[in-house]
Amino acid sequence: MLVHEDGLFGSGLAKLLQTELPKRGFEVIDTLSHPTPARDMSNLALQIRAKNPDLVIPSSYYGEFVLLARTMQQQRVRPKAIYAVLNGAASNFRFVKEFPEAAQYVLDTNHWYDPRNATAIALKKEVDGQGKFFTYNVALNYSAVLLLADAIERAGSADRAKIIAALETSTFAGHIMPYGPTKFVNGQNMGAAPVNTQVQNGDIKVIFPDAFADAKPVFPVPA
Amino acid sequence: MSSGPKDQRAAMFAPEIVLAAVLNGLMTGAVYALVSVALTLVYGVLHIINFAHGATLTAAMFAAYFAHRAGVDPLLAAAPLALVFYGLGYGVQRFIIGPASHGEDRNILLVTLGLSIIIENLLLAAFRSDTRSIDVPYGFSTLDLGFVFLPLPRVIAFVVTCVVALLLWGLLTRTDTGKAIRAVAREKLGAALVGIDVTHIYAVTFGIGAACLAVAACLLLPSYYVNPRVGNAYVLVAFTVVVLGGMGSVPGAMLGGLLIGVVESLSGLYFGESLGQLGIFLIFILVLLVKPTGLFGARA
Repeated sequence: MLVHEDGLFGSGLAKLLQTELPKRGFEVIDTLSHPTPARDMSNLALQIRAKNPDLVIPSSYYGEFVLLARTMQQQRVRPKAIYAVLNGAASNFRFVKEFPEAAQYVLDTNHWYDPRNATAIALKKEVDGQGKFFTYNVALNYSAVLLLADAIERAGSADRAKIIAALETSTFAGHIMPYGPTKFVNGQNMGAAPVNTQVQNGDIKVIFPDAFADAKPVFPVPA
Repeated sequence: MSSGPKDQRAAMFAPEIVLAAVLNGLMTGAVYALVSVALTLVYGVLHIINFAHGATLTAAMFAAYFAHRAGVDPLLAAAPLALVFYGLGYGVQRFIIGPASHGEDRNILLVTLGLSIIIENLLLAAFRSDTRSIDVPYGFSTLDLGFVFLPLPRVIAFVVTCVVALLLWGLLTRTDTGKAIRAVAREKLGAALVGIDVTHIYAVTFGIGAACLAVAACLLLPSYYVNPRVGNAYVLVAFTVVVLGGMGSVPGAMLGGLLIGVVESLSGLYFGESLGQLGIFLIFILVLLVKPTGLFGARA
């Protein structure tokens, strides 16, 4: 069952999932949308309970997902798992810290730091030390700056055209994320690779792919 | 997965779901009512639309948020925060909006609009655009009625709103201040002639409006979130409620709030959440077309 916010991000993703999931043996039993901001998720929770899906796949921003997860918990809606896609909250340490019960066992597909990479671990420690949340954006932005620095160095100049040319031929591999070498085709980074995460006991663990995983998935979610 | 499309459609319209949606709508509507009462009261007496209404609600939610951070439950913080916001509202009307308006209504509109921009951006500068929410012990508790789980924070919100409405009704009908407020609402010049301090009553009314918002903020926070733009989500609805209930009518705003809550909930259920507001604005247009004075005319 797909639940998505009705802007470009959520609707686009829902459309993609509606076409791609059936090809992979998943039946999409219903698609529900909600606005951002949404004031109330009770109706959505009621409809999810009525349809009793195995998986709830939400794509929404932080506030709405937190509201949905809390309402589902309140209304005793317990699917086998919540499997979020590029969700604003599902792999956000703030959510995990503030609502540990609602966040427990929530799965997400998202860009994430490589939990086995020493630089990434050191960076996380530093961010945590400042009392800030090590969100996926931190790892993304840090990688983006590394990529740019590499391009500027190879360009050997601050000239915009030269830097863009250097980016076009980039094979930068010094990521703190589980990415392959960055290679741009039509403006898209072919090396980008999101991972699967799961909230487990107040922490966010990578559960797939195995090469980067630091925990085993818990599925279905224990009642 | 578990059920076919036919069962799902039937399940969606099952009576217990519709009933649950109605009850949820009533609970949400109670908070709309409180926000709208504040708006309609100020309109009824000062004859202005307070554009700073949403920003004030947001500010109150931040106040409740930080009260919680300081260890005070939002529900316990409601009364003291109502007093604080009464003072702030009084001061803002008496020393900023009043003097800046120079007796012209359109100036007041612009001043409140300016205030809302200032408040929202101050909050943005101070707290950034992060979304914050709190976890209270009763945040996930529900009242099990057998066929529906009612979230406890919303039941509390419903009850408190009813109490506040009764208090407000008592204030307006049984006290000298209330009489003065109603007199000013009906005939400003006449009220001034019999010795009522109109400037003071304007500020008192504005203060009461702000106090209602502070209570609404404390009721919302346990089950909602706060960021610097959050109040606007409620104000658009409040405008509809005020028009539906009759501009300036306090009972109209109460009833209108509950009604709009139910309409929104049911249209969300039947047309999908994205179109949940469809019902609200259909009502808005219908009321303007058919009965522009609203359910309860234009009495304060």
